[in-house]
Amino acid sequence: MLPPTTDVAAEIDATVARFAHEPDNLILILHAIQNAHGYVPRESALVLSARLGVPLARIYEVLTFYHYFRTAPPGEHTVVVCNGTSCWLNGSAEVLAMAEAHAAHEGETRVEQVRCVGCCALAPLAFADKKIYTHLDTARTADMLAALRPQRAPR
Amino acid sequence: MMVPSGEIRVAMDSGGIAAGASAVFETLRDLCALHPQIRLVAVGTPGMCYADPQIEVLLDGRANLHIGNLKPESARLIFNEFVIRGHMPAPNEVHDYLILGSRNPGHALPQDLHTIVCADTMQAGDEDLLSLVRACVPPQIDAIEVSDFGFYNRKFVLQFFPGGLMVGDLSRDEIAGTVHQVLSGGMPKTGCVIKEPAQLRIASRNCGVIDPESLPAYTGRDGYAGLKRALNQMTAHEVVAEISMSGLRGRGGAGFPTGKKWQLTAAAASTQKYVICNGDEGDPGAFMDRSLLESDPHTVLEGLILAAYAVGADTGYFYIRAEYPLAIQRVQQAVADARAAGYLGENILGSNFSFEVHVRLGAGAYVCGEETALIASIEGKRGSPHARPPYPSEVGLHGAATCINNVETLASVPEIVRRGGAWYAAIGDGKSAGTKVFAVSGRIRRTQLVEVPMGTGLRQVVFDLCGGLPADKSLKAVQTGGPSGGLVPEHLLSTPLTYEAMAEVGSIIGSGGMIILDNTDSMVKLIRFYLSFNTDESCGKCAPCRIGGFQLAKLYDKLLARQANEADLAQITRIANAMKYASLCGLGKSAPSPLFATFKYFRHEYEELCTEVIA
Repeated sequence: MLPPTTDVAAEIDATVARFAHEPDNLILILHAIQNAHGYVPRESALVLSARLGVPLARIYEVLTFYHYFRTAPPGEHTVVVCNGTSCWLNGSAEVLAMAEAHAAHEGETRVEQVRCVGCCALAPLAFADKKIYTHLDTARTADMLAALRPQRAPR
Repeated sequence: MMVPSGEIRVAMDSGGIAAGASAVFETLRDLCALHPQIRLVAVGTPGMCYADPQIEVLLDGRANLHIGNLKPESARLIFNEFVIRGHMPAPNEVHDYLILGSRNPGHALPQDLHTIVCADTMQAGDEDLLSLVRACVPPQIDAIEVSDFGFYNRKFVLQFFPGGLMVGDLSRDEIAGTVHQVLSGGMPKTGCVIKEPAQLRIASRNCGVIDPESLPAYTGRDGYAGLKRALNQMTAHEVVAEISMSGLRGRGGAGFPTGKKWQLTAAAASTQKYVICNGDEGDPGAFMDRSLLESDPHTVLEGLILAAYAVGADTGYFYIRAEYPLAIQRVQQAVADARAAGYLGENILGSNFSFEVHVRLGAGAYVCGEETALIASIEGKRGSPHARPPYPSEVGLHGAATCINNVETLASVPEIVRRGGAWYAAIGDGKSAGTKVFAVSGRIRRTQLVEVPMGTGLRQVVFDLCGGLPADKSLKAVQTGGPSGGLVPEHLLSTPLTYEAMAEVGSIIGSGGMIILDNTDSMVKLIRFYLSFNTDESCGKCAPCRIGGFQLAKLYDKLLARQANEADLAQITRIANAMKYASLCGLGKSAPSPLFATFKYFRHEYEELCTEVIA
């Protein structure tokens, strides 16, 4: 295994220092890393393990237990479909199916579900690249997904 | 023209913001900047989530109204026509806002009547109500029809401004007479003068009323008065006694007496003690805790500080779902402001009580709502539950005695301490004292939060407060308590909302989520949906929950593919019973609860899906 780059080491040091006053801060630190990168990179986890003196297996035990944490990059676009009961009753399965079809066709889009964001009056709803879309019927879902396309960087 | 003074409130909880409240706020901010006598306040949700984005207008010389489904250009129109000129324009296709009446009836007869607000609370779509009212009054008196006052099934309702006197239960023939009586200075002799708001709001008393990010706004509504009373006049033991006397029970789902929980923690041997606010609102379809944390974080914080004082804790934690970023932000702000004002930290308000609070984020694990799993998560570990006893009140966070209370439970505490346990115990229904907040959604006209005294009938909540189902739908059942709860079928809708009565019909109050289901909803599909939820959320530690949920899901798929038979139904019941009796924690034990309810009340739906048994 290559030694971590100084950037990663510096970032982890700063994050650990930020939460030094908080007891049992592993989950708080992982949230901070994910907020910065969109996921928790393995390299960051390795450095964190050394800094905190916590075995890597324990860090991954936590990372893989919680739905919120990602261990792989989320991709260029992320669609998060709410699958609370109200959203489900109002057709979140169709929204999810459309989002998955879009992802399969377009690539670079990660589709996730969230358990209920508590905005049940706006059901069904989803987040596309963190922007919320509400009362999703077929047309509005298509508009939401179409809005993801032009943002893609040329390659 | 006299521009009135007063306040306009914009509902800026995450539901309101998601619906577009920020743009409405910005438009109004520019307009109000020209009229400094009108305060514009960003508040939390007043509960009527169906009407987001929404405002409440409270101005002298104008009717008190909530106006919902607002676009910025409609807000501008209403400001110019109603706020400035005094006449409310009727909504049309372009400006399709929703006018809602004031939730609070006034008590004074109007001296100089300027507005009559009217509603047909039977929702019959009465087209000439407004012209009927207009015909009774001179043209300078404005008449406004609203879609509701927060209640239904009270026939025609009139409200008179200034003063806000509200008269309901009027027949069409009585409208003109009532208006004339009020115009001639007499109390109306027809109908019924409505004295109280339809809901009794204790935990949510400040929601949609005050700026949640303002400590002075909270103290201006008796905020921290309960804490002052406790620290100046009461021993810790007396605070516990007050809560015990109130009859308050855990609002997160289990309904354990809060006073008892505090007493057990207070009596525990450990010198280090902790208090935790459980804000891991996990039941899909429940949004009362999100709304409380976003709309009035200080009241939850004050409840937590009081809990700490009562049990003898010096450290507390808020554990809040990461999916609720606005709630986290507002709680962090409240903690910082409270610390700066001396409500947190060393020697609070000059007493010898010291207390510090930390905020911890959940990370998307339903099981973390379970006390022992939540503690593991705060300790930075995976949220696996462990067997109880020992209970957290003896051995909790870091092995110390720990008291965990739900958000809504804590939000009820400050008023109980301020007004006394006997006051709270007198509200509600016997062993189910006080009020409960319900989040009503699904096939309902008005998706919203309601806070009512316990013992209120389920039918009243669904039909009289939330307006019932859309016209073409009929009610099949109400699913209460989320994936751990049960079902109340239509014929049992008169069940009062108490812990005991709900248990008798095989359901629970739970955290207060209510999903309204209509005749087209398949109960088998609903349970399959909840099984996905439970298999996804099972922590995997114990076999009954881990394997049972998975096997049940497979059997339901077989059923929905019309390939199952009666023997499979028996197998479903066996597995569900194994989960109920042998699972380690509440998640597994209660996961089959909605399933049992469907077997009890809707078995025919299963049988219809079964194929013939081939002998």
